[in-house]
Amino acid sequence: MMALGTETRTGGETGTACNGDAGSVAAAARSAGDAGLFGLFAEDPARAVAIIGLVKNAGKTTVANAILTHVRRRFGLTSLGLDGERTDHLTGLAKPRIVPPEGTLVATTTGSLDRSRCCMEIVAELPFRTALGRVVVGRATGGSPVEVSGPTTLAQVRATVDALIGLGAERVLVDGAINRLGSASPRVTDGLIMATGGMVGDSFDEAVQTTADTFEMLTLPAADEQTLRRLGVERRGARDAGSDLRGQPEPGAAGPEGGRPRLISVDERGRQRALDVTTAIGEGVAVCREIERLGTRTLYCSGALTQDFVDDMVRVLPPQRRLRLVVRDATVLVLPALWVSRLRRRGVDLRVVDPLRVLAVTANPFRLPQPLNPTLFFNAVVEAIGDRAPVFDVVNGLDHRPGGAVDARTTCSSESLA
Amino acid sequence: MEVKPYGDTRDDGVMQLSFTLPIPNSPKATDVGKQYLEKMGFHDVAVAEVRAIDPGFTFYVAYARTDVSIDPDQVKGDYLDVEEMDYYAINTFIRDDVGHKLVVVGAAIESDAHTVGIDAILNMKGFAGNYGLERYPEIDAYNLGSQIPCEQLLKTALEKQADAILVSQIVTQKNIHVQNLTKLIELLEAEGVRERFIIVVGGPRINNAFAKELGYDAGFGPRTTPVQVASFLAQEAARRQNP
Repeated sequence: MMALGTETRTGGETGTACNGDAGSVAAAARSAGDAGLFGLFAEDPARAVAIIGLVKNAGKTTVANAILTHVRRRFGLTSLGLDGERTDHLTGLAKPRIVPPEGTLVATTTGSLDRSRCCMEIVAELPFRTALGRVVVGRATGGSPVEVSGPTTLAQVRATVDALIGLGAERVLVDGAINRLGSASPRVTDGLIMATGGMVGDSFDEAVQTTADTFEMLTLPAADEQTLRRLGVERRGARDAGSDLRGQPEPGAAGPEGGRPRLISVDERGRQRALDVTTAIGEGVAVCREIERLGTRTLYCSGALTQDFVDDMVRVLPPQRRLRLVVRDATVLVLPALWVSRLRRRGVDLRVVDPLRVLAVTANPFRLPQPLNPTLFFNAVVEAIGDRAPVFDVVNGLDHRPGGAVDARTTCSSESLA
Repeated sequence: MEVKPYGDTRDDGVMQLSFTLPIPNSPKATDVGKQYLEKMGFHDVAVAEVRAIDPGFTFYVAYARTDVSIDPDQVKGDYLDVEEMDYYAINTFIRDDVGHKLVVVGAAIESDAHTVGIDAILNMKGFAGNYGLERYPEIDAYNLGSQIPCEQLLKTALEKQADAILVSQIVTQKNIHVQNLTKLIELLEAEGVRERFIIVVGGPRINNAFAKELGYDAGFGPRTTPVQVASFLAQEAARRQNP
């Protein structure tokens, strides 16, 4: 029953059940997994999947553990952050341990192996250094917990995913870091699992609303082919053309050695113009004045889209100005998810070149000081997501798939419902 | 090799302890303190000093022996792999092994109004008897100050063609530093420029493993001195130059 490698986490003196006990997790995960998340995961063509969390303690590692245990594939595993350590640096709470099944290829750092006193057969050393030492790939022997930390930058994560596949992994899981979305970029992975939880907002309603807003942001629609043709921008597709993440400058990267223009404008007659700026960051007002002057109908921004930039747009552009704004993918939106709907209300049609594939949403009712009611939280998340993606709670065995009814099984322990 | 505290002779296990119990200093207070230490597993307890520090509190100084030992080699941490050099060695190293001046841009980002951390590392006068990075002839240091939005820090780093970005976060209420710190990394990644910079974070609640989790190249906690940061920057810059 301990195979899942999770342990009961207690919130200090409150004794709050954080993750359910390992036994109930395993039992519930099996029932949810019969045809749910794990079946879906096993059948999906995505070779590399990012598990991203909207907040720390959203349950990313618990989901990764459940998948590793229940999907019969030869897995590769790495992390953009740091997972499987005994206690969380920030909260002091015990964290779920990671016990990869035998044969799993784990890309982690020498420092993490040392700290977790884990013995693995090292099969490759990757050319990346991190704050915790070199990145190495080991073959798990099964049964012993390991701290997974992996490389630091997205370019390195991408290369690590390639290396794991090259070494024979059929599926690669990339565990996320805190609230970072970057590893979900189509330039790094082929699909993502979005982990949300009670810690996402200060209240039940806020947690659900932020989940809905973030889901909306991550599933922004793709720009149509004609728009891309006019902009002269090509879709990358899944992970097959990520050369810009291999240490070479990004096309249009800000700075002196930048290649292609950062911002491209197309007016209503289809005339394409590059804007004379090296970055959109901090240049919101100048960019808005320029697109007014050019009569821009479609604007492509190849870098980050920030909250400041959106604020400037909302302030400077005339009300109901029709504009299509195209960005590379949803991970370049460095802003609170709510800002996406602010743009939409202003008449700006936000699109992406490469859409993200959300394979599933997972809901974790854990919250300090008091966990949310798992069924209520799960149902609220299901309602917010609708039929756009399947929703799972791997600890409490709750499962909702598009078109299906909520399957609130009762295998969860009384502790995890407390 | 296992070691024990050194009192009078090697591995005798004798420790000096001081503590306060919330009881009045009465005739039996000495025994209360002694038995408390024995409950903790100490033996040969000698209570050397018992004083009332308040009508309801008693302060103790005691000597006691422990059988517990530790093997220092078995203690694993998240220590940064860097050889600490001095001011002169760092300048020579940058000149010889990096080949150009190191450009360093530093700030306390977003809502954080505290410059104490970034100043300790960057300001010429430095900290704890160490010169700050501004004093190093081979380092061009730009201290942007506090409450610097991530966007502005990134722009300045690009304009100055910085080799390294130093970020300080002192305020940690509601873990605001976590959001600020991941925002900077997400911004750099979205702009496609993350790999250009050595990015270092420092603050009272930062350690090296946490810096890795956040996406930084190194993390420095409390009591970090400028030479430690400069040593890392110089060695990391040289490593990147000659992989």
